[in-house]
Amino acid sequence: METIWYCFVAVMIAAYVVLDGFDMGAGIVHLFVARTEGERRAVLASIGPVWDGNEVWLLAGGGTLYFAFPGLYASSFSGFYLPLMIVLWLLILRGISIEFRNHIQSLVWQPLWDVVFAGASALLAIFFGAALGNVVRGVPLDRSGEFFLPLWTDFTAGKNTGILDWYTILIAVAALLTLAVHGSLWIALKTEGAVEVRARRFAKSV
Amino acid sequence: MVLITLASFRIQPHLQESFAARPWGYGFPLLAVVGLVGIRFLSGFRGGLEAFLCSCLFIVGMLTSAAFGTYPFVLPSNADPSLGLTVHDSAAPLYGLQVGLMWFIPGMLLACGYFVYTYRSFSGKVKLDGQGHY
Repeated sequence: METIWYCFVAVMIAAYVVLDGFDMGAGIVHLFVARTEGERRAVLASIGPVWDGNEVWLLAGGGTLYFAFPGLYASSFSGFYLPLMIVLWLLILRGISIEFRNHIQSLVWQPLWDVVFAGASALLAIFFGAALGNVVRGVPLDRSGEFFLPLWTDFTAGKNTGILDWYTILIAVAALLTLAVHGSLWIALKTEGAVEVRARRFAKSV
Repeated sequence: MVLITLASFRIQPHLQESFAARPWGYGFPLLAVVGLVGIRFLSGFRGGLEAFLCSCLFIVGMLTSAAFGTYPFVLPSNADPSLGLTVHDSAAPLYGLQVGLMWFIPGMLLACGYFVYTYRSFSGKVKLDGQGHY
C-alpha cells in the first residue's frame, strides 16, 4: 500500500513539473524570444488560461505527501524550511508579475514585471532542481528523523554539505536548461510568426 | 545527461543497487533518452506538438528514474544510510492509506477530466484580439 501511494506522489510531482514546467520555461525564455509588447503578451496569453491550474498540482502533491507520508512531510518541511520559504516567495512573485504587468501602461512598469517574471521563473527552476539533487544525494538525518541544512557550506558533497553543493548545482543547471527548452517548445507550439521561429531556434540551440 | 547520470551514481550508491536488483527499471532512463532524441530531431519541424511531447517524455523519464532509483527511500541519509526515511517508516497507518484510495481515485479522475477539458478548450495557436486579460 505504501508503494502505491509512493507511485501516486511521484506521478503528481511529475505532472506538476511537466505542466508548470512549461510555464516556468516560458518565463525563463520570454525575454529572449519575445521582444515587442505584442509578442510578450502573446507568450503570456499562451500560458494565461492554464498556469494557475498547473500550480495546483504542486499543492495536490504536497497535500498527498502530507496525507500518505506524514513522517517525510514533517522531516523535509522543517529541514528545508529556508529554501521552501524562498520557493514560496518566488511562486508569489511569478504569479503577481503575470497579473500586475497589464494593470498600468507604462515604459517602466511592464518591463519591470517582465524581468521579475523571468528572474523568478529561472530561480524556481534552479531551486526545484537543487531540491531534486538533495533528495537523490541524501540529507544528514539524525536518529529522530530530523536534519538542518544551511544554504551552502564548502560546495563539496560530503557529510557537512549544504543545500547547494557541486552535485545539486549540476542538477539545478540541468533543470534550468530542461525547463527552458520545455518552455520554448510550448511557446513554439502556441504562437505564430517571429516568436515561434525564435522559440524553435532557442530550443534547438540548447 | 551522461554527466548527471555518472555524478548521481557516484553520489548515491543506492541507485546502482536499485537498478541492479530490478533491471526492468532501466525502462525509465530509456524513456528519457527517447525523449531527448525526439527533441533533437523534431524541434525543427513546424507544428511542434511531437517535439513538445518528447520534452514531456524526457522530464517524466528523468523524474521516474530518480524515484525508482531511490526507492524504498523517500529521503536518504548521507550521514548513515540506515537512518534514511523509507516509504515504510514514514507512511501513514495502513487503514488511513486504504480509506484514502476511496476518495483519491475518484478525485484524480475528476481532476484529470477537468485537465483534458481545459486543454481542449484552449487548444490551438494564441490569438490576441485585444479583448482578453493578456
